[in-house]
Amino acid sequence: MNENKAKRLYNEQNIKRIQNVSGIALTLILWYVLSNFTSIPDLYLPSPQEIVQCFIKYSKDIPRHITSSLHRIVVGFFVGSAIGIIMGLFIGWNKNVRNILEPLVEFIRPMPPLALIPLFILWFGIGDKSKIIVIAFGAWVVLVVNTIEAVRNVDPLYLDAARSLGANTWDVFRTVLIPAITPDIIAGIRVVAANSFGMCVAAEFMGTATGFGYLIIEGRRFIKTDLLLVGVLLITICSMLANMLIRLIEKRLTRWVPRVEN
Amino acid sequence: MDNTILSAENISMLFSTRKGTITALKNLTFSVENGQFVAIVGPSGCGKSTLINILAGMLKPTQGRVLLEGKAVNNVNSKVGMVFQKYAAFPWMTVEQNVSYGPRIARLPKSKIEEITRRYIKMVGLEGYEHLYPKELSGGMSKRVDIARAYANSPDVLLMDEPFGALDDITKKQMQLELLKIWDQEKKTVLFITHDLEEALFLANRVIVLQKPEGDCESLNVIQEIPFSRPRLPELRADTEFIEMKTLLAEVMVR
Ligand SMILES: Nc1ncnc2c1ncn2[C@@H]1O[C@H](COP(=O)(O)OP(=O)(O)OP(=O)(O)O)[C@@H](O)[C@H]1O
Ligand SMILES: [Mg+2]
Repeated sequence: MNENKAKRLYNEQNIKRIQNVSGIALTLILWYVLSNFTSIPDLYLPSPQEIVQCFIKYSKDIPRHITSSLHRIVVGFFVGSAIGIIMGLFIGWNKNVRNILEPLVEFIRPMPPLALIPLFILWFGIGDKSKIIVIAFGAWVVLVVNTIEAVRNVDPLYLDAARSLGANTWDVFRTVLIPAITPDIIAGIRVVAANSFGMCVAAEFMGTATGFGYLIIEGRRFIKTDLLLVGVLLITICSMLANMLIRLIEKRLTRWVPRVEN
Repeated sequence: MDNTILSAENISMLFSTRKGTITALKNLTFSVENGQFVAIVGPSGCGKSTLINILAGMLKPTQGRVLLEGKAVNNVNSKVGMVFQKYAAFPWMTVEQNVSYGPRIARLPKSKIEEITRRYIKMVGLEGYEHLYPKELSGGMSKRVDIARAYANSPDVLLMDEPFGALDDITKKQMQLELLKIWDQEKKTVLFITHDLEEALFLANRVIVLQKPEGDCESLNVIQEIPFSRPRLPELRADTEFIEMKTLLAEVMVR
């Protein structure tokens, strides 16, 4: 009886795995067929083999482009996130700081970071600096708002409980506030990480000699669709890996969060 | 008389709201002797939670003052322990980390922290569950964590605001017995708020009945000493004297 149940569970898992793979496999097959056996020109739809060949052809350059984009993303992401979280903590925690800064944050919040790229280029030049600042700005906006909200949502019950157990303000901050908001902050960070890749590419479109954006722009300029797609694939893979890394950290830090399992 | 540990002196609490002023407490005076188990009962809205918040120093009364060992209570402090109505164990800490919170915050030596933690986890019967998070506990177990955490911080007085209000009847009765056992061991003053008259009679040495302050009615209804001997066993609930007293106080409460 029990064995049967275990077996069924095992089968269900396998079915799920097969279903998961089948969607991707079908798309790949469709792509392969369309690109190789129809008259759609390579310009519009290069075949999978061509993409692989392109990867190989550029394999010497690709690491350079990856590191250059990742450098911008990582620096912008960390600086923007750190400032956002720290400001969010202050605004959420202290009434005076909130009264002064929150209207400002509310005004800046709807500004699309991409719309600011030309301004940043004007201020900081066309180099890495303006790109990093766009990414940092994007990260800052999301995390400052996210952190304020998270601090506001901390159940006052826990603050009272800590105080009645002898905690001073710093103790409450350290042992209640920070752990209580961690899940929300990490959720924000995941959004920010995904955004950062997009903003990096957009900034690189405005002019760069290296990076994912460069590959894509070069692909378009010389009508090498395969190169363009290689650029897109590289960002996608890097973004996926970043997301996986954050999920891993999240799992370690938020084991205590009650979750609905499915 | 000199044995008084906590006293409320002529406390009134007014709340101003959009609909005018609400009198939550009016001219309430009572005192609690060291080591006693005092229960405060009263109908919903008679100001019980307001009172406990004032006693804990979380709320300033409009009039009157609270004295703990002769000194005025003005702020939340670790001398007054709290067991809240809601589950209040920190969800991000394990059972062990929750129970050791007070001693850790007080920066006691490590060996002392461990000793206290072990002792109170044992006292509430949570051995073997030290490393679980609150999400992995049942309601009764969570409440045990709250109680152990409050005791581990060794306050002078423990305030409990309907701590068993959210539990099912069987768990509640079981927890009442356990609480009595703990109270007996620890000899610590407990002020227990409940709207359940039977619970109050079963647990306390003294029951303070509150009423809603309306008109020229004041907050205090009646103070009743509860003479039943200890240890109190579940059979007490079927005792004629117990039932008589319960009926009497129930009548007083609706008056
Ligand atoms: N912060 C507040 N602002 C305005 N009115 C309040 C506030 N807190 C309590 N009150 C009012 O004071 C009265 C007493 O409330 P309290 O919560 O102390 O009652 P209670 O005896 O604890 O009731 P229950 O048994 O339902 O918990 C109520 O009429 C309530 O509306
Ligand atoms: Mg209440």
